[in-house]
Amino acid sequence: MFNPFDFAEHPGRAYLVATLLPLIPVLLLLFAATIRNMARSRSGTDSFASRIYWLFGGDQPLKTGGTLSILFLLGSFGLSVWGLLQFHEEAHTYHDFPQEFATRWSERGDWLRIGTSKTIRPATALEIGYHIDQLTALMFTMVTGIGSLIFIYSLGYMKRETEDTVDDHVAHTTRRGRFGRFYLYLSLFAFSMLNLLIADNLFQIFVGWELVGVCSFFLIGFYYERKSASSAANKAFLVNRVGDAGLLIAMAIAFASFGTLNIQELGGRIGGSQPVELSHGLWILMGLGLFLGCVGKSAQIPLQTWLPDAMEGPTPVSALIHAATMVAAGVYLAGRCYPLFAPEVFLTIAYCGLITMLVSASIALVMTDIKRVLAFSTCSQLGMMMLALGIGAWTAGLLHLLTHAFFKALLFLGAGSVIHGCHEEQDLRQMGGLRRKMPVTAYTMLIGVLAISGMPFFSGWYSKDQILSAAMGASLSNHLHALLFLGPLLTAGLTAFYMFRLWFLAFAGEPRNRTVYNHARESPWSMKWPLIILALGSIGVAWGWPLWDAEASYLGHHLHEAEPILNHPAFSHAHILAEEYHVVAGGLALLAGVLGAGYAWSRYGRHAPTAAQLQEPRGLLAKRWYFDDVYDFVFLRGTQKLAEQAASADRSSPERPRRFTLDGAMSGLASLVQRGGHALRRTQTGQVRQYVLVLVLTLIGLLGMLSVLAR
Amino acid sequence: MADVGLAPFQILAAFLFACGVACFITKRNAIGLLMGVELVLNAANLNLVAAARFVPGLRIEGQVFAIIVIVLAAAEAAVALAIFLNFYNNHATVDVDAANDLKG
Amino acid sequence: MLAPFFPPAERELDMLQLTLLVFLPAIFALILLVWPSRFREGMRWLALFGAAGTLAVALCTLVDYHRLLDSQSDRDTRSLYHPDTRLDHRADEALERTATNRSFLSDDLIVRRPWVSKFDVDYALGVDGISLALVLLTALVTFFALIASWKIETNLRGYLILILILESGVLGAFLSLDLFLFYVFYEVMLMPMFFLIGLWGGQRRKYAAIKFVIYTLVGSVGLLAAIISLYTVDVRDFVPQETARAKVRQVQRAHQDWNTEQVNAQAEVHTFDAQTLSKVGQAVMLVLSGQEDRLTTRDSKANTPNSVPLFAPGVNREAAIAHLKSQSICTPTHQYILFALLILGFAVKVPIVPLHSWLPDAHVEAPTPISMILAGVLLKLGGYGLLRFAFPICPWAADQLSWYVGLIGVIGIVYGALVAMGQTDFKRLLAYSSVSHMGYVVLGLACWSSGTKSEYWQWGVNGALFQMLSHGITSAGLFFVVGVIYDRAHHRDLDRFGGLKEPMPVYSGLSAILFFASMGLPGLCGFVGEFQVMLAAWNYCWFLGTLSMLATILTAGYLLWAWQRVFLGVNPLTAKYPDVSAREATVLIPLAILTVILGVIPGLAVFQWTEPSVTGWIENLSKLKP
Repeated sequence: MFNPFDFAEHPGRAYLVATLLPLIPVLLLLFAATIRNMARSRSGTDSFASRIYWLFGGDQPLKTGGTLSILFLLGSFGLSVWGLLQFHEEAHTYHDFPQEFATRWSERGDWLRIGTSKTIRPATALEIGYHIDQLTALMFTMVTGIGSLIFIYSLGYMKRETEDTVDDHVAHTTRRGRFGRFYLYLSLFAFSMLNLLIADNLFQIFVGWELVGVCSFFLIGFYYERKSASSAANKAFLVNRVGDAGLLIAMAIAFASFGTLNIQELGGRIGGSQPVELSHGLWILMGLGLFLGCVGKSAQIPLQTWLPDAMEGPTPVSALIHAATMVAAGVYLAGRCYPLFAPEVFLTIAYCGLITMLVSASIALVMTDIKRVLAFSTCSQLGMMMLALGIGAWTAGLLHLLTHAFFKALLFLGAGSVIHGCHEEQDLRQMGGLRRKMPVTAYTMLIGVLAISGMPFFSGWYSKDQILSAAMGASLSNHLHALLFLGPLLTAGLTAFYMFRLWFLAFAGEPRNRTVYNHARESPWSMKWPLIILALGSIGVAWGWPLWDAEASYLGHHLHEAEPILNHPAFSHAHILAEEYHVVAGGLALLAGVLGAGYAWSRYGRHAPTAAQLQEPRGLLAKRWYFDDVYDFVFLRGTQKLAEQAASADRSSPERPRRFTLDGAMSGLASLVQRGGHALRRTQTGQVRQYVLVLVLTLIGLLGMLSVLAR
Repeated sequence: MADVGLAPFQILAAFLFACGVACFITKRNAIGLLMGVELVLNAANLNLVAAARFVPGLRIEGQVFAIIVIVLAAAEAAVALAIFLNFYNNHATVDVDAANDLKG
Repeated sequence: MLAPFFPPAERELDMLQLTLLVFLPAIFALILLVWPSRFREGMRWLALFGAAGTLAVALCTLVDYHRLLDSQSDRDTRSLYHPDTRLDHRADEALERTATNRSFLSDDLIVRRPWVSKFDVDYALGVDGISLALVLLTALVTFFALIASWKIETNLRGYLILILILESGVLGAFLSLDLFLFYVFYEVMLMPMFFLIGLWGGQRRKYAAIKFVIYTLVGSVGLLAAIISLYTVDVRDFVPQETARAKVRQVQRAHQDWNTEQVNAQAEVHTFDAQTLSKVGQAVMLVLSGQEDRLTTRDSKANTPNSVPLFAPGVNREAAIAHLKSQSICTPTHQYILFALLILGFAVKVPIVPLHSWLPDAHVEAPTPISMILAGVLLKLGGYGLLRFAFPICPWAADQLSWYVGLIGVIGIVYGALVAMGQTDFKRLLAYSSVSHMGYVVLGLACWSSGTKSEYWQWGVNGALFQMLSHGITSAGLFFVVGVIYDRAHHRDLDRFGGLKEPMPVYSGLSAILFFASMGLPGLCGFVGEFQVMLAAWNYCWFLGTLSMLATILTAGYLLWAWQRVFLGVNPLTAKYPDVSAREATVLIPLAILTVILGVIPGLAVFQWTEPSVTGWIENLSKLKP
């Protein structure tokens, strides 16, 4: 019998339990919500149903749901911390027994098996299983940790949703609060995300992949009264589906060629060099398919358009899903599937990351909505991680993933705090001088800004420095790819600029809109504590000793242990060069960051611009490089047109028959028969004599035939 | 009676049959039609009786059949006349060309 | 199930059980016929009781079938996978028993009695995983459809009787092993459906009903022609030799002056038995593809794993091959025509584009419960027919044309999705989504791969079967979802809904599960089948595979768009709608729970007992191709 709590034999099962824990509040909330809503119509009466209704929270939407979800996620966090410590310990004690270590930390079983044979043959099973390594352990802890903080933060941020009726000013309507539903989705998200992290095969990853997608769909559309929110949710899901189709193709190739979807096995069979089982073209296609999935989820060009729109969701959602965890899943998967990629795919990854990074950063320069700035910044930073993966800097890319999760979550939560404090005001041009009203928010956010700009001793510095030096190594080893270094360098400057611009516009100077300023207030402690903890994390999560050595990060070292070994000559050469020019690259990056920050200060910090000076942005950047318009025109309208054409080509109605449709053609066949019948009708004259004549003639004819044939 | 064989009877029957059919085809009067039918039936009767006399192995079957046909013909005539009477009541004629209600 | 209550000597219970399973609804229909009109509500309960009883018998049969699988074990294979439990093996044995008049007594869930001996028609019913899955689905969907029918007032008695007769017809069709019997049941359900649409339907119900009947009849003609053509085949080398000898004796008695050769030439054995005919088809495939040396008799000592034992024990192999070759069935033209006729027969039911246009009209006009049955059950007959009859009986043509069959499936998938996107009528959208989803069934069946790589085809066939189940559940649920909102709004125009999520939270939640299941979200049932089919399709042909994967984007597109238009936004017109009633919840909640269960543990819930049958099916067919 399978005992999930058998931690002594299988400490990895702690992660299994931790993954399943958030599912419990989901089920409880679903159950309670169904009962409560079914009983609502009887709430006024004195019946049993009414009592049930009040038992499950009455008109107030399941406040306990929040607490419950937080408790279970904290439980997961606790387990994951235990698991992390245990894993590090065992990584040393079991160093010489890799077999035992593997069985302790990974297990797999059949989800579906086909065929009679008892022996496992390839392509006869879809499996589920978990596999814990350094990357998983760290990511797991990060997700549960930041998740718990954001869950707690949401208690304050979503307070309005606990009331009986809520006014939605955007959609001009009143509705019931949705506190329970919010935590339902969040918990389901937590489960799906954790499932994705511990998965040891592509199939299970795909399951988690789609489930986080659907949670994201529901959370983006949380204010579904608003047309913009529901459209954004649809957009996010559909764009992700495009990526998922790529993932499906990749899985199909892997399954058809290797008969397994287990990542470790696939990695062992491929391991960075051309496997015998499949042609080079298919190998590239498989990598591209996998990467297309990552592109969709991590909002890389060309599938980046959904992420800025996804900011329609509540801010904690943006922080958790669209900054720290779900969008990072793309990078995570790219890192997981590292050994499966062909060299050409690496190049694609690098350049795709590069383009995304630059384009998104450039758009972030002109955005005035505080959350959109952060959204484009997220795209840009994810692009930087992708670039790092593409040039072989696995550790650097994933380290940046971890550190970025902290400061981006911090920045989003800070932005949320601002929005909450300013009563749903998101426009930077209406803010200003808020540091006096909300000091905790302002200074924690400043920490986040410093961290994302890559200032020394903040966590972002360690990861960015590594990426930059790897990029320098890559471009030095092959001068054709000089852009791969210049791009990140430029982005470092741009990032510093737009982040400081955001901070100066929001918190520094004088208030530009007095009404907003006067009503602004600092957020409650349930929101401030997460900010503070995340700020501490943003500073110190990547620290190591000596502090001033960017390469000394403990986190980086631990990650490095999980780095898959790739036999890729270009990468190893670049690694050597990266070591050599490390200081130069780091210095240049720092310089770019300082220059960007300084320019932001000179434009927005030294003397704060007035509202009049801040024009509505126009042009290419404000239009987001016209990606959305082109996509809308080509794909959305195109598909709609095609669908309308198809629909009208399919159908004809009996009232207005149309010949040139599929249905019409079929009816045409029918009407041919009908016309034939009409033609034959003429022969039925009703004249008995005529019938008899025909009868006799036929008889004579038959007799004649008989006599001829009989001869 | 001299043994003339089957053929003359058959020829006579065929002649009668042809006359009946011709009558049936050409007449427009319903009573005429009925008479044509009688001719046809009698042709068949003649055939049956002749066959009973000349074909070896047959004994009385032909006569039996002929009698059945005669009875049937009488019944048929009664029914047909009833139909025609009804038809006359409705259409004021016994011209069968007027009976085209079933025309498609 | 009933076995413990009877002493072993009297165990003829599977006959009773299967017959009961088929005819229980009809029995209740008869009771309804004489039910006094005064007890009007009682009619509903009686019908529901009948459907529940049928469901119970079906579940008992499931338990029995599982016991049957479990009763045999084999060291070399996984448990439940013993070859002797497969339908064709059991059917062979039953034939043998009938031929030797040994005894009818058995508990192998096969029933075989002579019915019209003059034309070799048997009353033959049998259960295996494939049919049982669909039988359960039928019983379940009909049960829920009857609950959904609670609001029907006009001519209630007739309505209930027709639904019950329909259920009998469908169950009979799923269970019959004899082609003639199958055809009878296949036609039996046509008339109830005609009246149910034509009398209780919407505005243009007569048009829709006649369209439905004409399309289905066109298909039936193809089927009938194929069945008659199959009956002309002389199967004397494939049936137990006692039958063949009895035939010889019979001819001898009739023509005592003939010599042996004349008698032998005249003593042809004909049959409607699908299993026997499928053996003929397999033998023909081997002959036509030049592998006749692999053909052997079932009792041959020289059988190797490579040989295909199809001839009956005691048959002279060479003579049998020569005899087979002399028949017209053994020509490519005949095989192609036969396959085309069978495909035509079942394509209308599936439905395959371009024979689908009866479906939207029928769905739109039919009342909600009938739509549920139509989408949930009747379409599956098409897929079942392909799986049970078309492919095994004409394997050679199926193999030759499999790419085209797959292409037709993919066209259905993409075309259905595109057209669905362009609809404004909720029901019509769902109707086209059925076309799209059933395309996966066809595609999954068509992924014919050779014996060495048969795993992928097996995934495809498993996926196709599961897709039928899951589509049956989700589409029945979704049509009920439309029905619920139609009761409140009295229209189905997608553009005039909106904002339902706020006034009807339970309804929206349950609908969401069904919507996303239909979209193929992992963890819900729609995903499992589609995913398996996609894996198989890619391995079969990258082009078909890619198209089927890209179609998931379209599927998500039209469903999400519909979701947005119906449930999201603000709409003062819908703001006061009451949430689902207890009755409506009774239909929706079990369907939603089933959706989740089938999505999370498909192996335990379904594949455990369907997969052995599919494995047998695959092993029979895939080994025909080297």
